[in-house]
Amino acid sequence: MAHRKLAIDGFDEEHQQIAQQMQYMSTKSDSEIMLMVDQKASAVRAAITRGNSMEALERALAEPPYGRGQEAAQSANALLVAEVLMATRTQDVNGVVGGLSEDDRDVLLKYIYHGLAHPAEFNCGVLLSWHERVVEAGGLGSIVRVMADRKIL
Amino acid sequence: MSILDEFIFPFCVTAHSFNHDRSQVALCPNSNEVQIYGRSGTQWTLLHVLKEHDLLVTSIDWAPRTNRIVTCSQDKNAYVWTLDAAGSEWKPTLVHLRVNRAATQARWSPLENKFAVASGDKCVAICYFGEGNDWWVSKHIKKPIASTVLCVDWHPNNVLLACGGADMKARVFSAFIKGVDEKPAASAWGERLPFSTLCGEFESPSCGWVHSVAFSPDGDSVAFVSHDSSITVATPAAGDVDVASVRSHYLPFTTLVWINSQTIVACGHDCSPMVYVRDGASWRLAKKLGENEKSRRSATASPSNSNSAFNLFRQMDSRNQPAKPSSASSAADGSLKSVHQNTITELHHDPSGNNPAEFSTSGLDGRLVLWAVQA
Repeated sequence: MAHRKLAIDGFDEEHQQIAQQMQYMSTKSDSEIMLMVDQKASAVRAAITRGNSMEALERALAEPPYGRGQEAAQSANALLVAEVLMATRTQDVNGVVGGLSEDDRDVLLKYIYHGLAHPAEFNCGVLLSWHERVVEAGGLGSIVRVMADRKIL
Repeated sequence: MSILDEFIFPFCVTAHSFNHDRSQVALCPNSNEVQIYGRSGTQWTLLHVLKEHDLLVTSIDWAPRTNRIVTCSQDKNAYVWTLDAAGSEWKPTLVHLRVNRAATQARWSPLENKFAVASGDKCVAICYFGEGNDWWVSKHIKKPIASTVLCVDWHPNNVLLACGGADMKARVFSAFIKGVDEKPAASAWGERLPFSTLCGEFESPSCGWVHSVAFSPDGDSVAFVSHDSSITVATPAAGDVDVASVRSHYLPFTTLVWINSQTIVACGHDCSPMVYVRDGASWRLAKKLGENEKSRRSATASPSNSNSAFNLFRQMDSRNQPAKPSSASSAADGSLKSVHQNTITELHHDPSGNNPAEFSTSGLDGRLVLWAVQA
């Protein structure tokens, strides 16, 4: 496209409207989503102290705060998921991954990638070992779904 | 034994279409030409080269009964080619497509009196022959398509058309042309369907470009594969739509075909056809075709295969790697265990319609393979 001097789609107003429509926008308000994540936090931490990693993870993965503009809620939720991942004993990891539903597995992989993208705040070694297990269970298709999904975390 | 035949061409095959008895095949060798090869024994010989397009030919469809070929290209044109009376040359007829962006796929309708062309201009052009002007005219389906249309498929009743695109939705439209079509019987998709009526709109759970869409043989369901590595089947029934999605463990599929109403074959970036069967309300993977087919290794006499022991030790010397047992997806000489060595680009039924369990695939590795699915 080196010979093109004008980005012709930029002049098309309809195009910009459509591009916005394609982004996933949640129906809830920003504050509602943040509240939901905070409420999850106490239940998840309680489950971790009880030693029940499966329940803690399922709670942390439920109702993900999808959508553009939800970075704060997404970071908070991702840190919560990371707490559960680090608290799980190494011998329990396989069992937990095997017990997750397909939906939850895909959501977990999205959080893992979110964490890997922010190495300053997350323990990437733990994330990588979980990544290996989840991809063993879900195959390359689950990674493709993280990349392709409009519902971003 | 699921492979009937395998041929290797010295170029990437980005599109292919067989004639009615598979004695000839039209291919696009990843360029602006269409090459037609004829079968002579076990080899294919080049018979014709169709040179009219200026840019990459994106799709070829050979109508089995009327023996016409429609080609479309990124140069915003489509041509219908007919063989002249002497049978020695293919002559192009221009199609008045009126699209402002590339054409992505072209398919003849079941009765071969119309064809649909999907384009990057956010529309599907339905083309039929205008007797008055002696060329092919088009009508466009535009709303509510929001982005490039990547694939189209016709319903057996010659009126309904499924299309999927980069706006991540698969839709079913009516492509009824007054004067060319007769009113179709009422189906699960609706009745009284004027041109461009939207009969259904579907998306897969994680979205992703819809690469290929296909109606079931009876027309009651539509299946599509999208870039989120899933296959989705939608069946409208009594006012509601039953949508079943299967998430696959593999790389995204680029193309799919129905073998019968219980079996779908999909292939794509993972280089092997995967057979999915209906399992109650959902679908599951039944098998992967073409792995470890011993006969293929002897049939393809390529240099690396004939001396694999020699190569093994040569690798040990040059790469300082100890001899490893074959890993899960690649053999000792580094090639893939599947028949195709690169992405499968297109998948087509047997054009004569006599063998629903047979299909052909073409790939970026230059292979054209004929398969048969055992029941």
